[in-house]
Amino acid sequence: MSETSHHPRFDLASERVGTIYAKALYGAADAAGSLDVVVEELASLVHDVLDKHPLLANAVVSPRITHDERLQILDKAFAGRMSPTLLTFLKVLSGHNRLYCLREIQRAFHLLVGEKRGRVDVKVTSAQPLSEQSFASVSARLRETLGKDVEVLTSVNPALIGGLIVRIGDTVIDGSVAHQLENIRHQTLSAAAQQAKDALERFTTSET
Amino acid sequence: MKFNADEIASIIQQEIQQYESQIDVREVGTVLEVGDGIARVYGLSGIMAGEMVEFPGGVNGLAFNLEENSVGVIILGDFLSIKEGDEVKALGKLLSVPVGEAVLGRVVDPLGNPLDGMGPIQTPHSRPVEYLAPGVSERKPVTEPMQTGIKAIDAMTPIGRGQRELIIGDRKTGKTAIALDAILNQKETGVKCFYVAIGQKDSSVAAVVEILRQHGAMDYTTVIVAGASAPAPLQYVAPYSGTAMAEYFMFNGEHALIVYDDLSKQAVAYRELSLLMRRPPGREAYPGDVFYCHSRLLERSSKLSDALGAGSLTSLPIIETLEGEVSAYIPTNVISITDGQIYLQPDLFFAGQRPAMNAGISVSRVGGNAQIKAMKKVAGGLRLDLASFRELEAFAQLGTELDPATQARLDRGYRMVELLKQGQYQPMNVIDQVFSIYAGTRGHLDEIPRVDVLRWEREYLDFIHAKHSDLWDKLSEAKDLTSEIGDGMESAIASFQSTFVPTKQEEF
Repeated sequence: MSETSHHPRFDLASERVGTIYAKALYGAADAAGSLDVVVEELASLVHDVLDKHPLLANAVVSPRITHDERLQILDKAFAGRMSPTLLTFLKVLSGHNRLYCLREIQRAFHLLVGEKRGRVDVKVTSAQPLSEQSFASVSARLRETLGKDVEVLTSVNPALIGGLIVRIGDTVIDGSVAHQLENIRHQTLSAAAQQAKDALERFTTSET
Repeated sequence: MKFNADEIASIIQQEIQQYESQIDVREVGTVLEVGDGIARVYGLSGIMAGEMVEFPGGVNGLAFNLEENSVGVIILGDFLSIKEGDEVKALGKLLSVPVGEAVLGRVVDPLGNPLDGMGPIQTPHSRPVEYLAPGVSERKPVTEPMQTGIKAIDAMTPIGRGQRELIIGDRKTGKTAIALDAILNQKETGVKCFYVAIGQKDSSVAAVVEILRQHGAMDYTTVIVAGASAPAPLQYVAPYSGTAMAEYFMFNGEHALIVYDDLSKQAVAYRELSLLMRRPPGREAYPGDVFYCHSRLLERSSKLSDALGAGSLTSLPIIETLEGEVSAYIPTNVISITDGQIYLQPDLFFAGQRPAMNAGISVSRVGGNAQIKAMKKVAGGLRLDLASFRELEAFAQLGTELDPATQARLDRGYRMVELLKQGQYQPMNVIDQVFSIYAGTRGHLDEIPRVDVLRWEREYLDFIHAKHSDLWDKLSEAKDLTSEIGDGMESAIASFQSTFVPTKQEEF
């Protein structure tokens, strides 16, 4: 039975809730002076605990478990191992029945902290895994152009054939060979069609 | 015609040699959900309202709703090929359509793609579909007539070049017929015509195209089709793209006529889009800006000032009412936007009065300025006379004894009603109209039996063309009813009357 199985769905409403709670968490953690710890712990909670133990994730989200029971689970699992700010935050989420947005909150929190610290996430896709040297030069170049600290996430897609695709937020800088080949294909096709049409017209106009 | 393979290969080679490697920078988003002609897209954070976007496979869309963290996009084309997770690219430009002489004689869809199988439209020009209407200082009053060739309209509710005259009525009352007659009558006047069919059966559109072709009107007409099976976004943009094509001629100092058949269907398509986009519904579930949707469209019809070339765009929007209900939301909106309306009634239609125009409530706010002087003189009080005749007729049906003066007015009225009847696709020259209306309003038909009025008119006009063509030419040149021409008409009528044989009325 996988009634609440996690499925990486994109939900606009949770996304919005995530932004709001992320702001609140940022304020609380900043005031408590434990921002770095909270960033690290939240990321680890989502990636190392919830992602690896879906049963726990389901238990945390399930509406069959009451708020009081959840408080006990949270205390048992995390008290003493987690900064008090984050634990309190989780309890607040549980009270508001918003624990299901934890992933969105983590994502928004990550972006928010990055923004405050002048750091951006950049996704770099290449046809083959980047060598350490080229990774370093790409990162340095991105840092220089954007004037910000960059966190480079790499991925590999052999369909690119060669070159790089860099994605910063919603902007995509496409320097892949596959894309250029596609462009050449379009241009040659339209040019050839145009020429053929012109030739045909020359033919018909000379007729009349 | 054979294509030379070497030639094509050399073209491709040239292209490859000239190809400069460019790094493509684009703004993208991801499709979250898609359906019913709209898509919700996450990302595209820098997009502007009304900007074009491209889906994979070359389908275009328009950014319609900008929300906090998503963008509502209307899809102009096949939305079935778009999937969740597809990358959407912002194109940074506005939707535009091909315009120019090349679109005349063609049947196109609202994006300017040909539907008539006559090859691609080759024109260097294009215009944005959404364009701001000319302002106050760029316009000039409407004074030139735009003859529809329909006696009842040219005499009573004249339309000027640059005017917007609404054609309103129930289904099957001859709305499209009036618009088509107006298009047919633009032959040899240099007015370019555009017929925008929105949400109609493709069979009716095919019939319209066939009629236009048979009467030789396709040479100067473009038909823009967003049929009943077209997705709502296409039906919504069709009038705007038709207007963009027509505006090209207006801004080049020429004259254009555009028929929107019909705007109630466009309003319905817009309502569908707005509801799918979760915009709040208002009266009759139409969104709050449905008025603006029509006003910004019709405002683009105008008569330009001399400085801008004095071109004009006349529009004939059509609205279908339900059970004669003109106080519904869309009819009242469009009535208040336009410069007058031609109101068609089913009871008149079935009583055989075609065009079934109700003279009492049809108006043209431009009025006599848009008539030639001669027509103004002969048809001056016709509309009010006919309206009062209708009242009198209702009274006379009570069967009371009538005094001779009233009876005379009734007789005149019956004959004028008869005279204003006109067959479909038979637009009349305005000079002919003046000749026949002159005879009617001056009482020369009062003695003619009612059944013979149309025959009398036909034979009279033949007589004028055969025997008095000099008089006709004189009127056509002066365009005014001088006393000399008036005397000429009187004598022509007198000589024709003596030859006219009324039909024998059989007694039942």
